[in-house]
Amino acid sequence: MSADFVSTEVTSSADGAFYRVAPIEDFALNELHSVEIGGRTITMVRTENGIFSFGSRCPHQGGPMCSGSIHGTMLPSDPDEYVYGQDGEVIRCPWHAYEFSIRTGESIGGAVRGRVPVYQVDVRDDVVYASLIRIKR
Amino acid sequence: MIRVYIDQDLCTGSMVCESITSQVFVMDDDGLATVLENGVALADGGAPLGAVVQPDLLALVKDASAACPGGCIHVVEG
Repeated sequence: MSADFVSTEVTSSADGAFYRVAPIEDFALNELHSVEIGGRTITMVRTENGIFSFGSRCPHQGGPMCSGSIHGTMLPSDPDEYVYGQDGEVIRCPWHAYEFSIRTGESIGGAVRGRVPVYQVDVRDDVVYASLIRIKR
Repeated sequence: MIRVYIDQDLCTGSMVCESITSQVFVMDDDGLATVLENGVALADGGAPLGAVVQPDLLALVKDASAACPGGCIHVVEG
C-alpha cells in the first residue's frame, strides 16, 4: 500500500526530529492516513479531539491499522447496561476488530498483549508535523 | 556473520519474539523487545549494529522476524 503522505523534510526540536507532513486541512475528519517518514510507515488521523499518530501494524497479527476505522467503544458498566464512550478515541483493526486507544495505544479491555506505538505530533501554522518519538505509557 | 536488532520505534511489545526464542529476545523495562548478546540485553533494541546470532538459533530468529506483528525485527548480514 502506498502512503498518502511522504515526508523527508525534517525539522528538529528539543525532543527529536519532526517531519512536515501536510496542511491540517488535508486531514479529513476521522479519515486514516498512511504516512511515510524516516523510512517507516505510520498512521495519522484528525479527530474532533486533535491529531493523532500511531503505528501502522496491529499488535495482534500485524493488521494494517491505516485500513481500520475510528470509533468509540463499549465502556465497563453494570449488568444489562450498555454504555458507549470514548467516541473518536479508538481505532479498530480491520482484520480481527481488536480495538486500541489512539491516545495510549493500549488494547481496549486488555484483549491483546502489547500496544500500538503512539508518537508525538506537532501542529504549527496549520501544518502537521509527525515524529517517531514515542509517547511513553 | 548474522546479526539481529529491534526497531523499537515500531515495536508493539507483543512478546511474540521472546516466546519463540528467549535466548535471543527479551522485553526491556519499557515493555519493548530488545536482543541479548552474551546474555546481556542491549540498549535501544541493539540498533543499529545488532547482536550476533548463533548459527543454531538462526532459524528461530527468522521465524520470530516473520511472526513479529510490528515488523520490527531486522536480521542483517555483516
